[in-house]
Amino acid sequence: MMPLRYDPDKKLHQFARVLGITIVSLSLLVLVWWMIALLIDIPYLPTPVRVYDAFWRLMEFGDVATGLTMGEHVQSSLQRFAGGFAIAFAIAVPLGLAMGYSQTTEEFSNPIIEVIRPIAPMAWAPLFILSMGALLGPMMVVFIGVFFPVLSNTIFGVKKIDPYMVDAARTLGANNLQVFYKVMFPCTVPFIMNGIKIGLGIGWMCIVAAEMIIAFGGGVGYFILTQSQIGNWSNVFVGLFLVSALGILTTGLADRVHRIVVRRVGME
Amino acid sequence: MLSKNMIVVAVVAVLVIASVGVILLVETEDKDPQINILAQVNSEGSAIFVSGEINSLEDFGGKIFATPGPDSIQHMMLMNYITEETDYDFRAAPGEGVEKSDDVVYWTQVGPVQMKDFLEDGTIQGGIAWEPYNSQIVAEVDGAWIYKWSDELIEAHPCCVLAVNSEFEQNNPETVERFVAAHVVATAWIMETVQDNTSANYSYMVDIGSKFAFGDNSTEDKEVTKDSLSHVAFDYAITDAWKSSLEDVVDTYATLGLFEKDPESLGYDTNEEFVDTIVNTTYLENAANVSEADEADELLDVRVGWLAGDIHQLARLVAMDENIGAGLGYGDRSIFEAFGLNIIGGDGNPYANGGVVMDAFFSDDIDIGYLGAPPAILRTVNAMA
Amino acid sequence: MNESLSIKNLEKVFKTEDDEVVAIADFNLDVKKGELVSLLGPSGCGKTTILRMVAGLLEPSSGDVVVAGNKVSGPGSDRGMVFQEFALFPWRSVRKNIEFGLELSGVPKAEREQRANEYLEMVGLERFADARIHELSGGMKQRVGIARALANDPEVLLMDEPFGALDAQTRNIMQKELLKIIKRTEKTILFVTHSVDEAVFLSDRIVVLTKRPGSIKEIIEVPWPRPRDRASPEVTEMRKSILDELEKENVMNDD
Repeated sequence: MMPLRYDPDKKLHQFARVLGITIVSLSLLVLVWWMIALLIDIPYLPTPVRVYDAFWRLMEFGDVATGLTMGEHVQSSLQRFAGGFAIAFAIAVPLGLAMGYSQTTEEFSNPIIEVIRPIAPMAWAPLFILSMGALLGPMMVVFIGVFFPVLSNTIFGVKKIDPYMVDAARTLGANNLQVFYKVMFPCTVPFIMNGIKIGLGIGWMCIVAAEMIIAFGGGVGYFILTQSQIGNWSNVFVGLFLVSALGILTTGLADRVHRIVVRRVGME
Repeated sequence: MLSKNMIVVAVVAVLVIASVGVILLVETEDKDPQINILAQVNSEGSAIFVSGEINSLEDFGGKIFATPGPDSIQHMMLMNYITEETDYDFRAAPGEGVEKSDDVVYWTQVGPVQMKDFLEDGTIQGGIAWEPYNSQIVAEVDGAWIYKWSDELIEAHPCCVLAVNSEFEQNNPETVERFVAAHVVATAWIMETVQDNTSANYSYMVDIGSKFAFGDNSTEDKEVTKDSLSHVAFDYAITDAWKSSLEDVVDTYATLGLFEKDPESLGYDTNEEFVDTIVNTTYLENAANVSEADEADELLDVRVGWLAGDIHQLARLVAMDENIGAGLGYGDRSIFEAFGLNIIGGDGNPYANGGVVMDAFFSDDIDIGYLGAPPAILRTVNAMA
Repeated sequence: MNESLSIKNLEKVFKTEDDEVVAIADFNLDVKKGELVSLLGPSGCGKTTILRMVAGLLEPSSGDVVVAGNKVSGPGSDRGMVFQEFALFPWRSVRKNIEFGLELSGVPKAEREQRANEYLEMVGLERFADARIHELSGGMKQRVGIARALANDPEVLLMDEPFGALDAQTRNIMQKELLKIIKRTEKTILFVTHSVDEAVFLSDRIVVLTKRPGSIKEIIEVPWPRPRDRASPEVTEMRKSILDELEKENVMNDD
């Protein structure tokens, strides 16, 4: 009889190990949470059981306080998030590439960027929301959050390009444009992706916070706020878990995209 | 020799055993209500106002109404009215660009102070607020009119109540006793004064009410204040009828599904029993027997919370006023001071709405508060889940 | 004309804050078609500088570089280059690296594939066509580098200490591989190295450079057929004499 032993080289074993440890770790979290909730017994910290019940009730009846379903809340949040992210990406990447490539561009853009960068995304929230409304407002808050990490990492990526690779491309007959998109861009992709991962995390935090000060349009942050107002803390916790799950989902998505892009860029 | 892995395993094991132990052994005690309701402050005094583009109930579909928030009495009244008395659905307003359905009445949260501006710029087409804002809006916004006053929505609906932190009440019965007595005197003064609107007292009352609500006492503001006062019913009494209207509030919330666990799931046989538990009439019954405090005696401190600009809570304003106190023969003391109380505004006072007053109760920032009965009930029940 | 490459009066002056440094002074060289000429010299003599100016990656202060009768300025596919650090594109497979130059000039897919296969076979990497760069050893990487440069069919191949990053054994093997490739393609090669042994083993002519400012000390003809026996007396003698010259160069310029 062959005893079952852990073989670190087998992919299946690796996967099982990671899965097993994750389950144990999260279960421990739930247990400790449960214990603390029972011991300190305050309305603001419901037990896992109550949160579980609240979750299924929300699934069945939707969010009674606002009349929206949880799906609609999630959709609102994701819409704002995706929009803000897309705009940030579309501006930060080309700008970052240009700034990394051309010293003049960098020198010109730097003062503007360094003046705006220290302003926390949430500081813009009231202004954006009041002037642009409940859809564009939070979206632009996400934009600010995602923009700077993507920009910085893109610039860094350009600077990290191996100059010998550029030389090689030139001696193979590449003109400036070809050097730019056949060598520089692929080199910066891993750095851009890193910036994206950071940006996603920040952006997601921004969207929840921004939604707490809007008056319209639902959203997960909005849900958390209204549930706090009526004091249904179990629902608030469901909201928090939702935020967490969506955050993990978006980062996971970014990972996927990273892998696809890297593969595609190599195939060109 | 302890390897790193062994330490991790040991810590995990300890935590697991401790948690499981606690989970199995600790019995959650039933919680007591955070607050008790001591007296009425007022009833009535809210209204649904609409812009000129709404002519009747048929025009409500697809429009956005402002409420002070899902925990407010006004929100509950509007929600109740729309869902019980009309065929419309009641939902939170979506963002711009999203198509609105004519079968739905939408709401959005706006502080009453801003409702006028939002109505004027078209962000909302109607709303429900507490006095004096309804009167102010219809007086100052072209075309705006009152669709229904709250007594047309719910007969004799309870509005503001005087509530006390349960623990404070248990430890400081004397302070509570004096407070309720002062409240009764102040409210009685108001009830008498509104009957004669030519008296000097009435003018004075309008003056201080106006300043409190609007920060100003211009003639227009005072006119608005007078209008408001005519729609608010001030009283301190807790009658059976009034208690049964509180039960209606509990019923409404239970039906609308806003409780995490309704009173029956919390162990009360009926909603009536729950209301009986949180309403404490003993102080009210004893109020007449409470005598003035000696001028030389030290004042007892009490931290109080109230709502910003809420004319319903005029009784507090009256009880803190030295001129009125003098008029009642208390020397140069206000009614509160005459009953030996030093009023301290709680942390963050005045509060934006009843829910925030409840937050202040929960974080022990205030001992006594003036707030709407519905948020008092909603937040108290949800904290007992 | 059978000059592939003609370097005339090449000069490079670097301006620093307070000074002017003459790196290369009046360098002249004609390289015949199919020749392998080495640039050999002590460190800092400017041999890489010369190579980069020929490649067009560095602008000369004065002088001309003429390739197949045309003056050149700036880099181009007529002067392919192989780098000491390989400079391969890690996001592309081996095959795709080799095809890079062909893609740039718009060669259609089928023909690209065919040419790539040719060169894969020439450098002995047919089995690794779809491998990723990081999976390869140093020697294999440089084979890719050579194949990539050759696939583009440059007029002149410039090699900047191409085997400098390899261990001694791999280096020797690669030198022999290079000879095989030269036999097949008959490319004109300008080869920079600081290894006398390598220069003697590979070159038709060796250009020995002085210390900075770099100019030609001596041009040595290496007449023997390739592959040469490193241990043979003539080879050993030439190696020794060049080493002596270089030593003198170092000693003489010691300030």
